Amino acid sequence: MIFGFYLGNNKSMLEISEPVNVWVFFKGNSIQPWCFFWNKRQIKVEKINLVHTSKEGSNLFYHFSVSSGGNFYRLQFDAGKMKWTLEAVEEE
Amino acid sequence: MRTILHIDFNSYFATVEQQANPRLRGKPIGVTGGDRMVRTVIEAASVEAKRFGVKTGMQIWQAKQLCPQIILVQGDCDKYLETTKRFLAILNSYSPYLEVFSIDECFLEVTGDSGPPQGRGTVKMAQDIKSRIRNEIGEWITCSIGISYNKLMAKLAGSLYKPDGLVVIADEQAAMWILDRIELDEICGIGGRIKKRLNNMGIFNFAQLRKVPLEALLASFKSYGQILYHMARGIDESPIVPFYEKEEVKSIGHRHTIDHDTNNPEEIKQILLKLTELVTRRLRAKKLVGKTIHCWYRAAFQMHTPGVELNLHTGCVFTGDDMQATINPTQDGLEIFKAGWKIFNQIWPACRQAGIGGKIRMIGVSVSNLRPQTPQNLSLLPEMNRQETIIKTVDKINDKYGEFTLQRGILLDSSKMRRMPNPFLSDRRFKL
Repeated sequence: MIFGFYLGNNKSMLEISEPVNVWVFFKGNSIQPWCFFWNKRQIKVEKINLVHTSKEGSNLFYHFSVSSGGNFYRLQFDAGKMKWTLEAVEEE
Repeated sequence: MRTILHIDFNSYFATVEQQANPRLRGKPIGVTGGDRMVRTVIEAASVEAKRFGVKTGMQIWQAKQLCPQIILVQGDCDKYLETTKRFLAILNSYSPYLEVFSIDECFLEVTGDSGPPQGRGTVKMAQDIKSRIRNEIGEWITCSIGISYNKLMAKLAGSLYKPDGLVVIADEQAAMWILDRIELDEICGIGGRIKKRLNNMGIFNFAQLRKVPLEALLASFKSYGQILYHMARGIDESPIVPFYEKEEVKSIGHRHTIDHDTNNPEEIKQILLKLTELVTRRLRAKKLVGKTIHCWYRAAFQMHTPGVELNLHTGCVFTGDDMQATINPTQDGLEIFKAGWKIFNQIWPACRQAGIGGKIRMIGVSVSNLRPQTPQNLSLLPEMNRQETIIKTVDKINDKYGEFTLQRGILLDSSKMRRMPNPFLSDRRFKL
């Protein structure tokens, strides 16, 4: 079962906050998600659309807005705890 | 001749959201306030939403009336600031003379590097900037670039063709030709009020403005008359102010729109205290102290009661005389709160008289008359030293674990508040 909530009136966007396992690769001096596992599925990241950072105190978070098969996902990497979270999903 | 580029990103917040989520591309979207969906306005509309007449600053219901299928997306200032930092880094690689005008707008002076404004080198540079932005930030992010011989004309050139435009105003002759074909308020520096005053003088276009003697403009507009005189002739001598030369802020303030109308003094007190805590956190981070406290509020919307004289301005923002006070230079939240609360109690009765039970929907506080904090002698009162130690410790903990991790007990059940960036980035210096 998926728990989440909708924000705005973009009814197909589901804001969740679920820990996920992510396979990553390193390109230059940056980390990039290659695929992740969610809802008993392996989702391959086809395109990283935008990467931005945010801070909570001194803790740095990386947010990856990615696309896969026409769907949208936002993954968050907590640089302090070295943990990945799936923040938002918009699927067909 | 100077060569100045004005770079303006198109429907910035909305475009960044469409870049992040391709499913939003080609659809009318409106970006709303950061952490709430009620009592917010459209902060940015996508190009598609603008075609329906949706504009920045419009109420949500108005936007929905014009475009029922509009998709509302919550704004995310971290995303926009990060994108701004990236495009500024790109622009800075072309010239150090980069002036940040707002979060999505800047001027770049490349005099001497690429030839005159109309030169092939300058146009090629502008095309290269556009292509780098697309490749390094995102394919959906577009900007309009205006090239000219001064800032005023570069900005005008940038506004002539949107989105994704590239317009050159080569010289004063070209500037006159364009000025004679645009409305007075299409140029930066002439807003609705000045346009109205000019219209009242029988001036409806730049050709007519050019015929007015300087003395007449000075008599009507004082020193601004000189600027208008120059504007009509396409003259602007203002220099580029690079981001590293910008003056420090003159005031620091915060305001909060409550998600309901309230006249509960305890609730208002709590919000005001939280706002002052945010203000003083910034004061302490900049090692500044302030002595002039300014407090204002917006009354709940209600029809004006005939016969009741109000000291309220359009939109019900209180603009009375008693809204500021002077205290000893401080950066202590509680001291500023005490002064702010005193001001609020002086100005609140105006709202009560309006027949709306003193209900307010927004409150704000700011501190001005800022000066650097100097090393102070230790106070003879031990409690003062103790308080200073507590503030320093609380700041240290909040710096590490996040805003309001440790806070005054009275704020524990207060509403959530986030620091939002000023769209003009007045207190931010970018590390490029």
